[in-house]
Amino acid sequence: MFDVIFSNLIDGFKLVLDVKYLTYALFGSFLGTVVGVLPGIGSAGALAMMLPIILVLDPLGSVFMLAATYTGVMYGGSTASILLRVPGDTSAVIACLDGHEMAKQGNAGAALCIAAIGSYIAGTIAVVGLMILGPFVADLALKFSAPEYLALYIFAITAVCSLVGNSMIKALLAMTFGLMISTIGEDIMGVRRFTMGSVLLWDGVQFLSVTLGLFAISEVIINSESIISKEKREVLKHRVFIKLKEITYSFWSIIRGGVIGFIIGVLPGAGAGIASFVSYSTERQISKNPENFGKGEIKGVAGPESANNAASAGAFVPMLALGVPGSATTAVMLGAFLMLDIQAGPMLFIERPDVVWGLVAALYIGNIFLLILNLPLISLFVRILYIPMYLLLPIITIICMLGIYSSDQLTLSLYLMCLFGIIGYYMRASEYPLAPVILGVVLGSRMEESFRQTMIMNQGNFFQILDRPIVLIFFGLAIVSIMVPLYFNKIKLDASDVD
Amino acid sequence: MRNLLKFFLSKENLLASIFLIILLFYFFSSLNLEKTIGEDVVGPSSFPIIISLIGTVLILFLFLQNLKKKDKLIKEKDNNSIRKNINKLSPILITIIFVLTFELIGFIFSSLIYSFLFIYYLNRNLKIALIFSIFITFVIFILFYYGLNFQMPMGTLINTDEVFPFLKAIKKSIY
Repeated sequence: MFDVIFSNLIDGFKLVLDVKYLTYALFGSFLGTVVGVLPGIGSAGALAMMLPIILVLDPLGSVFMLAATYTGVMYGGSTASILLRVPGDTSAVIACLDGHEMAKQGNAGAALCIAAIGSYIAGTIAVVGLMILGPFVADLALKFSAPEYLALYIFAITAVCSLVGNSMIKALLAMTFGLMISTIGEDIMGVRRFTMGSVLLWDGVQFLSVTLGLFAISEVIINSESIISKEKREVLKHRVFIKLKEITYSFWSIIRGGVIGFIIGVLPGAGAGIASFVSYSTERQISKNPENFGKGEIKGVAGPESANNAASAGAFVPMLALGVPGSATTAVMLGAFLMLDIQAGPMLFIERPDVVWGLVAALYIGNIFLLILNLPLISLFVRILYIPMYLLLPIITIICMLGIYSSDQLTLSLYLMCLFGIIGYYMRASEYPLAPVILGVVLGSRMEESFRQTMIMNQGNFFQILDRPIVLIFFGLAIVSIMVPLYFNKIKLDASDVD
Repeated sequence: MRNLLKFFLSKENLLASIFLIILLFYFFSSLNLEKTIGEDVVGPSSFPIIISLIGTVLILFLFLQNLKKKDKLIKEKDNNSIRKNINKLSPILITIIFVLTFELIGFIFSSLIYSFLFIYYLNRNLKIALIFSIFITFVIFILFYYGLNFQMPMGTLINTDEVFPFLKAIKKSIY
């Protein structure tokens, strides 16, 4: 079996190791990184922007450019999160926590380097996974129905809430707030809820208004406050490169992130955002120093960044093997395939091996280009932090506003961004973590859909889902993720009492 | 009674108290929704009701937790005057002005006003505010309007396309 895979991959590389295709990959990686830095466009938007360009290319060249753009966007999103606390996508939210803290401590270069290296290694793991395990994992993903997804979401929520911030109750409350936001608008049956009579809220609250408001605008308020109160700001000299010690220290986090990301990426609908959240909570749970997370822990950047890149490659498994797009991005990719007269699905491996193995080779080469392109650019990116705050803050706000406006052309979304900025500011002042709100917003509608489908499947008896082994595994993991931090907190409290 | 009010309005509990009010409003609004539709055995109201119940229980837990440190909280000096809060939120007020004028006078003019006001508010240097507001607006406009082909608001009250007709002509020649 491995002989066949290896020879197919060699054929794939033979096809794409052409100056023309390599130029497409370089262009795609660069464009993806630039677009990824800007909030509001996201990977699906970036691929959609490429559609007019790829129409003039041959099918393999198009696939090559799309794959390289996708990997570029995934990396670019973390750059803005790390440097400016502006997450443009769900998958980039988690990089705000430790990545931005590292930047505040003068370690922005190290954070960006570990993100690039982690993305490369995890991307490679995922590509290998796509080659070897693709068809098998796609088969496993088919065993996931509504109850399994519901259990997965519950696990993701408990894992994150038990570990983010200082208080689990506050984290769960923040998540509840996120779930509430997710119920605004039309539900799956078309019933309008909590729209307060406004037509503009029928589609719900835009994700970007919530994310950029909570993270970026609250940061703008906090920074403005410190400038106005003439708080003395330490001028940091930012380290551009990473130490070898830091790479070896984060190595296993990258590997774990890669594996977690690939598995979650394969599940249709789970996506890179959940992969990065699960990876972050796993890293914190198994760390010897969990208290360092949220304060600039490099593993808190390495794991999630690796996970989101691996998840983006994992999402290709159901798309290629089953013709099922697992995310908005792969849906756009599938659309591009249709435009190019390529039919994704089980027959693709037999009918168009050039496309499948060309795509695998393209993802791999895209990862290499990403590393070559981004490591030298880090010194340039870090310079952003030397721009005076009084200039940087209006730039951040204007870019956030344009990002939001470009996606729905509604000024209501801009007002909501301001509102969430104020909420985010007071939440941070009262020590409520922000990440669970985003998780609630992202998972809310999917969770409700899975919940309602589960109830229909079980004729209203919720507890019937406990007959399913995968559900039991996820519920077990959810209980462990709550109990372990509580147990360690108790040990710590007992120890401090003895002292 | 006064102590109870003080407890709910203390720094530690204020946000949770506001959230409790929102949750109650959310809960009662959920009750007005239909319980089930067709084969859907749970309906559109079930999930919001579950969320509001979980949220209420969590807030009660939080209050109980904070009740243990009640004495400490009541002795805490409240430094949050209204004036101080308005000062803190000045950047948001300036941003709201930006949003208000965004579609009325178009991106170029609203961004010029916004970046000028914001930079001047933070730096108190008229020259720097003027130079950089023009520079920032120009660079962002070029990047988004021409580079990324974004749809920018051109203004209904003052139409930027009429004031600077060459902007559209350049875009037409690019795309």
